[in-house]
Amino acid sequence: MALTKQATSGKYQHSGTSAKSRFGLPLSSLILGVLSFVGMMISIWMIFLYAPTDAIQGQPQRIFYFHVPMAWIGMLGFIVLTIAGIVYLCTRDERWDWVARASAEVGAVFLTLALILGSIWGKTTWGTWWTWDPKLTTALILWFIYVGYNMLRSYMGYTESSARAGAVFAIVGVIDVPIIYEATNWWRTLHPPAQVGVAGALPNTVVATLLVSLTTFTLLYSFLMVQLYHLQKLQTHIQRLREQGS
Amino acid sequence: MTVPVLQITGLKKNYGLKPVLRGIDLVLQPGECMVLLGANGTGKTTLLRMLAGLSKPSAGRACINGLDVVRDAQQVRHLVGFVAHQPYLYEELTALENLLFFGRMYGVEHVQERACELLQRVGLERRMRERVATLSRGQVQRLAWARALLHRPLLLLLDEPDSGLDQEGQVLIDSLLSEHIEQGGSVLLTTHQHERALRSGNQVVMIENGRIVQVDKGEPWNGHHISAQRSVGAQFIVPSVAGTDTVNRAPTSKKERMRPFSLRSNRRKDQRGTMNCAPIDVEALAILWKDVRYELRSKQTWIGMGMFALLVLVIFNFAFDLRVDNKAAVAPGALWVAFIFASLLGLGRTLAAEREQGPLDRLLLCPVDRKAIYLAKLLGNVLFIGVVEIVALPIFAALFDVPLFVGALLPIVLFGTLGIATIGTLFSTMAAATRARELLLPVLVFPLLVPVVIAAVRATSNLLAPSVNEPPWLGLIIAFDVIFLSVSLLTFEYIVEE
Repeated sequence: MALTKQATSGKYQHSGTSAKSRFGLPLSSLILGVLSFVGMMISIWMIFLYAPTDAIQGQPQRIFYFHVPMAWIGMLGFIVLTIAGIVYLCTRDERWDWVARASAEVGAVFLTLALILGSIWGKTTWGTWWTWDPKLTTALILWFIYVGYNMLRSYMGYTESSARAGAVFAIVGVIDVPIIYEATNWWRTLHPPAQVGVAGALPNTVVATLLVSLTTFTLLYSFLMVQLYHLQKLQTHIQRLREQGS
Repeated sequence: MTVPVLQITGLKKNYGLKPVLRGIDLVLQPGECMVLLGANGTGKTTLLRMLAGLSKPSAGRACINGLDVVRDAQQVRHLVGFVAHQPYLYEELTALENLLFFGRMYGVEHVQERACELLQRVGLERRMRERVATLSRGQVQRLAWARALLHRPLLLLLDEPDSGLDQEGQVLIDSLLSEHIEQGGSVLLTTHQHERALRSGNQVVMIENGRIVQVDKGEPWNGHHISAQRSVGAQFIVPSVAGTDTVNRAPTSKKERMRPFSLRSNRRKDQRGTMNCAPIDVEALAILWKDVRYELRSKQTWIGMGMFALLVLVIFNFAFDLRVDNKAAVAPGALWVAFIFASLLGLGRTLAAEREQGPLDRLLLCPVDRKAIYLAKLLGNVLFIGVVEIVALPIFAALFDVPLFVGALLPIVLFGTLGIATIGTLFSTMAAATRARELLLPVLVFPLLVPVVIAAVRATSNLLAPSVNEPPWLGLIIAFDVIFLSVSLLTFEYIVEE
């Protein structure tokens, strides 16, 4: 049962109007979940059985198919978080704040995994777990910004001032995202530049596997976003009900 | 048609799901004193805070002299004087300095004369040059009264205004109230005391559980309520009504609604007769002046920052095996780490004076541009960090045995410091609202300072060991400063808003 706010009374009640599947999830969530699961199965098959083994790097190169989509979600998550923050500041509609919080949590997890996988990949190809390469450094900065955002929101609780501070922090922090993207173009880096779309840079099988993987992880991000959005909403309502009771 | 000084319609306030005010309807006419009576937690203070523009209603509307308290908040602040049961004054400043500061925030002309006049009126003329921290509770409350009257407000909002006052102080308050009302001003007062309510108000409103449960409309104000106590300060120059028609006649335009309450008002006016705020630079400099004076008296920040920077330099000097070939790489890193660590100590205290004694709300009550507050805090931080750097640089040069290249180093240090302070001021304001601000501030600030640190260290390193193919580090620092200063100025208001 979903909780809905009645604008006039300010009371919250169970509406029971959302379309639910027999699995207890809203239909949209179920569709996203099924698509993510099917996509993940196809991605795993393509990554381990369809895509060719790299002649120089060998099997560890397959990390690429996880690392790139996760880094992409890490950046996408922050862009969504910032847009939601700006819309919140303009409209003061707290649903946008729930979107921002949800995106911050999902994005932080994916960026953490991207950094860990990148570090493992780096060890096998560069011989080191970490180097102060511009791409790595700027990605690490974004991870710290994510952590700072989540700490700020956690310390300030579910308040309006917390939502506003989070939005402002995101607006300041998002400046790092284009820098990460352009790092390989602006500086000489160990990290390889973007090769998708560059004619002849990658075999078609690699590009196809990467695109399927990117799509799947984006679907997974959307699925998790919807779940966390509802979780944020419920947490907000629970806190308010507690306040009302106290 | 008479325009009410205060008109409240269906005003509600919820904190989360908890309703504090459940629909308040009130009308206050010029020259009236309304008393809100009720137990603790009934919503009296919340109502006053909303009318003062410190908090926004969840529903409903409130207008002061025809101006909406939310939409026209900045103009409404000119019309309202607020006395809370906490005085919210700067303890390290003198009584006179406090009034001068707030007078500048309200754009009061001839503020020195007005401040002295009010200090004399509240019986503090002999103690005007003493720090507020040395005054008694009752004297501080009198000073809070003087501040509330400083800009000759149309409406006085008084939240248990006589708390901490002795008998003489209460007589003084009655006298001030009487004079204010006789001059056409209005008063909305909260109290727990039935006696105070009956003595002061010609309307007594009982509030219970966020609702009005009883309204006792007494006689129109005729001075009989408290005239007997008008013994203090016959020389007090009270605001005179700008012709009865100014407050009793419906204003035809917003400009007219903004016409000053008093013909003899000291408030700055432009040629059209509307009230002005002080220019942003004047406001910013007034706040900066206050912060510097406060710091010079309290000595809470500079000494700690300086010692911390010195310790970092000593520890780095001790920890690293400095040789000629690595000095250019290590020494600048140590220098900037010292600057940044010391800066964080200072940045954490950006709103210290406001946070510790609570006058941030009082500052936000003034019709001061929020950008001016940010600029003043930023300049204050640059100044405090700069002083520490001036002390630390020669010590750094001596410890690390490096030349200073003062001419070339100056812009790097200046713009690097500006970068640190730009982000630090914004985020310290953000962190100030949290309990674990000391932990949170470095987590928020450090990641975004990385570009400045890299650029500043490399630029400083390049002075010690010049290299031909270095990027324009100083230009990068300046670009960082410009971008983040712009973003901070645009977003600061969202952070300080309740």
